Amino acid sequence: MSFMTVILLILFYPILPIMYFMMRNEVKPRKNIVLGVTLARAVLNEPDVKDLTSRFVRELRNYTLLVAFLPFPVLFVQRSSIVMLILMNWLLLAIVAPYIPYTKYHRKLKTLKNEREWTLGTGQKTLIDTNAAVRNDIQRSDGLFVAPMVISALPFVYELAAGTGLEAQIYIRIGCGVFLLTTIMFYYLYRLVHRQRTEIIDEDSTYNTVLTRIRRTNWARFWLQAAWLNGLYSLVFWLGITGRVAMTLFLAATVLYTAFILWAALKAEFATRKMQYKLAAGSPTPLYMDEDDHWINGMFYYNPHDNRTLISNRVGMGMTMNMGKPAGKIIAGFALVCILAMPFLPIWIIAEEFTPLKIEVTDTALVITHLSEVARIDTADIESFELLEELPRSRKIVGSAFPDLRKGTFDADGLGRGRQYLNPQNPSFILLRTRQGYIIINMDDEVLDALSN
Amino acid sequence: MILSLDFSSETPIYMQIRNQIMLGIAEGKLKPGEKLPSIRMLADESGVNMMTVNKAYQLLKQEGIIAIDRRSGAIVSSVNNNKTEAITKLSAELKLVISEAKLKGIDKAEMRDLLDCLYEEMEGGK
Repeated sequence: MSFMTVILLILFYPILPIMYFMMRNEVKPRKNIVLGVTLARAVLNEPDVKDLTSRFVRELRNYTLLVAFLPFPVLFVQRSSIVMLILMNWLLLAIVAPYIPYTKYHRKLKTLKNEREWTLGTGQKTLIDTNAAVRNDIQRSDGLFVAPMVISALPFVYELAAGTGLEAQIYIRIGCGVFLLTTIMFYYLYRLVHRQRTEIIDEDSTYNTVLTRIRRTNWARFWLQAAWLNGLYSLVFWLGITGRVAMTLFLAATVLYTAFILWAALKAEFATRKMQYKLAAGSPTPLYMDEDDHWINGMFYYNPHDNRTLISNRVGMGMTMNMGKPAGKIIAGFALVCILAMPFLPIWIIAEEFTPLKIEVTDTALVITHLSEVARIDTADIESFELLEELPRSRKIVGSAFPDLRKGTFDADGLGRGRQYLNPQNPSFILLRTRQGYIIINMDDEVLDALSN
Repeated sequence: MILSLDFSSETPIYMQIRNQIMLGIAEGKLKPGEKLPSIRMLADESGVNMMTVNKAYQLLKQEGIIAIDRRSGAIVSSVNNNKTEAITKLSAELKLVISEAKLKGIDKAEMRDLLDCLYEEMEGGK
């Protein structure tokens, strides 16, 4: 049982209870929507509705229990790429499985609604509360995002201007750039929260105003927290990847960052749901906006008449795409490809781990290949070389590190940053010093002959 | 006031917005001086194009029902007391309505009753 496997399992496993509680919550009426079906308040306690929701919860529990035991054999797998393959597939299963009972019972409830002709007064119309819309047009606090954006930009700007001098600088720049873009995206989502449609549950505008304000306040606060956290984590990421802070500190910060983002998102969503439930249950003149026909299986929004691309999600949390718009189709298609690619991603890691490194000696250079050419060292550039019986303790900066493969830039004790292309399980190594820095490769007679000549 | 837009209706959306705002004012659901959502806000709320909302607002502005201010957005105007202008405009519109009523066999008395009924309904909404 490897330490890394345990860490990965701890990081992946929470998704299962989160999915379970999130989906279980779908039986609680949110704006009079149960399992993605809009129902009048009068029918929420009908025995048939209660029966369907309790059967859904039972089936959801069975699916969750089934998935719960599946990842544990991974603790007995030695190869880290196989561990990743199993965990990634399990993660996808844990996310997708709850939607099987959800879709099934959503359809059953929709059929029941049609059979019993539980039609709602407003029909399939779009409702707008003009008064609530005006009252909810509150000032945004855009200025609060300046500081996290600047903090996020610092490592990226530094890397562009000064740089670390590492071979892996391009990856460091990309990494820092991604974190900067993420902070900017959080700001965009903050703005979008303020442009989301007013929630309508009652003829009395006060209810609609309060309900909308609760959603907007909770989510606006979340995006601001996320932007600050991401800004600070950008710094930690940069310090970690460039070897300026200890790896344990970097890993601990990463776990904390993930846990806090998850906790804050769940807190925002459940605080909103709680108030939605309370207000919808107590509103004096309920008004129902029945958009069920625009929601395919209660999950995918399709409405060509709606100009918006991003819509508040009906199931789970966050936002979803309007598939009735070309942009929505493209983004949703891309997201689908990414999700479906998840189980195949570890295949590349398997190829990395199971392919041995090869060193070829030509007249003028040493060529190292691993899946493709990874390094070419001109023999003329080699200033000196020495044999190492033991590999110095090293920490990966960028590249691959498996029990029997090291490929990329490493920080080695006593040597500093340099490149390593080797199998650590082989007994001895050659340290090559060039003008660009040092390189450690496996001991090889042919290489030694070429170097000696 | 709750606007209710029907995308399957034959009445264009801008006309639905215009008609409902006008009805809302007549029924007292919208008071003079009350703020209406800005064009962008109403477009976001309804999911329709900003041009559609703009068309409805321009129509209402031309009819003197709302005033559009660059800073405060759209505001319901005070009651237009220019009766002569209103009568001229309504005469033309009513001629068409009366013609349709006659063709469908609705006589003068029935038409009067209908008008009384609608007036009462609207005043009751105030």
